[in-house]
Amino acid sequence: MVAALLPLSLVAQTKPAPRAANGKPDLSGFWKGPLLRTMFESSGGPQFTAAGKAAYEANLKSPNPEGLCLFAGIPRASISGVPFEIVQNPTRIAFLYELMTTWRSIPVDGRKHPDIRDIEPSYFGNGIGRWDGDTLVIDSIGFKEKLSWVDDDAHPHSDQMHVVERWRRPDWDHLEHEVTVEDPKFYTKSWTFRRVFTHMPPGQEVMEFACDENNVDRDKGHLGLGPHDPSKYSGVQ
Amino acid sequence: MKLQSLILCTVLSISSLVAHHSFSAEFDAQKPVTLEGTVTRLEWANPHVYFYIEVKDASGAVTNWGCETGGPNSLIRSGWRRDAMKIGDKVIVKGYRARDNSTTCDARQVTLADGRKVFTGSSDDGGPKQ
Repeated sequence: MVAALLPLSLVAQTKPAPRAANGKPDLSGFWKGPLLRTMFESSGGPQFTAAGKAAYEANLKSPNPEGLCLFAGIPRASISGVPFEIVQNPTRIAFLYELMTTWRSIPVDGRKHPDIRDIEPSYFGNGIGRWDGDTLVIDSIGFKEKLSWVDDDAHPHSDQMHVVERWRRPDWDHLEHEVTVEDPKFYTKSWTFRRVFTHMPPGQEVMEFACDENNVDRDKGHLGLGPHDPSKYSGVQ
Repeated sequence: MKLQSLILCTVLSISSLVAHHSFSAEFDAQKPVTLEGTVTRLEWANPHVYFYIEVKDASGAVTNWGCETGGPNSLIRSGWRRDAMKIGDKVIVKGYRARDNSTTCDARQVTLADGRKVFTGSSDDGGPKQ
């Protein structure tokens, strides 16, 4: 239980998680969490296939796609450090990412994925949701392979990536996010990472972020290549 | 906005926003710069706010610098408004120079014309907090 690990004062102040009219937990809210730089920490580091290693090394010599204003997709958009809003109704749940004003709308109505050949690859993939008790499970396939990193550290993903997200709201102020990623084309084993988001302060709302409005860094060639080294700086999670 | 509330807002916003690119993709933490100059241009736009200042050295020579900060949303949540800095304002910028040694900087702290000091970096971009 994450709540058990929180400071007592925080637990005492928070309210129970709200429930929707259909009895399911209501995940609606405006959520934030710092940039996550430890996606592979609990899994012992990335276990690349030969193709995955080649893709990683190519990424190290490439500009961060986010710096080019390309969509972060998942799992990266949720852990970017930029807040996002969740809007929920009984049959769909929408993620409104402030990062580049992107979104995904996930059906939660019992449907299955289409045939993979009928899915146009995308940055956010084809996601379907279902409830597992009080946990929302989103299963996504059908991703692009080029110009998309899984994190800020240049780790690649292929068009065979399969992402399973488990979202749970233990109380009003917190939202747990557990993600398992498998990608047999680029990685020899799956990995799982976790993150707890907190609710943004009252009065804060999601804002427009038109990334390509004035991308001086890209247009003047200022962008460097590959990720930065988090060990050199403080304050990075 | 009063200084105290501006500082409070700045502290609260530290963990809430990120750059669209990391600090060290463009800037060098080993190249700190402090610039005093006059604002000649302001681009209040995504993905980063850019402002340009004329800096005079001891000999009177003028150098034009372009400095970036976090995006407008980040600055707004830190207590800024788009009219906080105006053309002709004299400002002091503490930041870091670009890796390519151009007169480009990442502004981490700006002392505005009215004396307010504000954090202007993109939070969680991996760059120094000051």
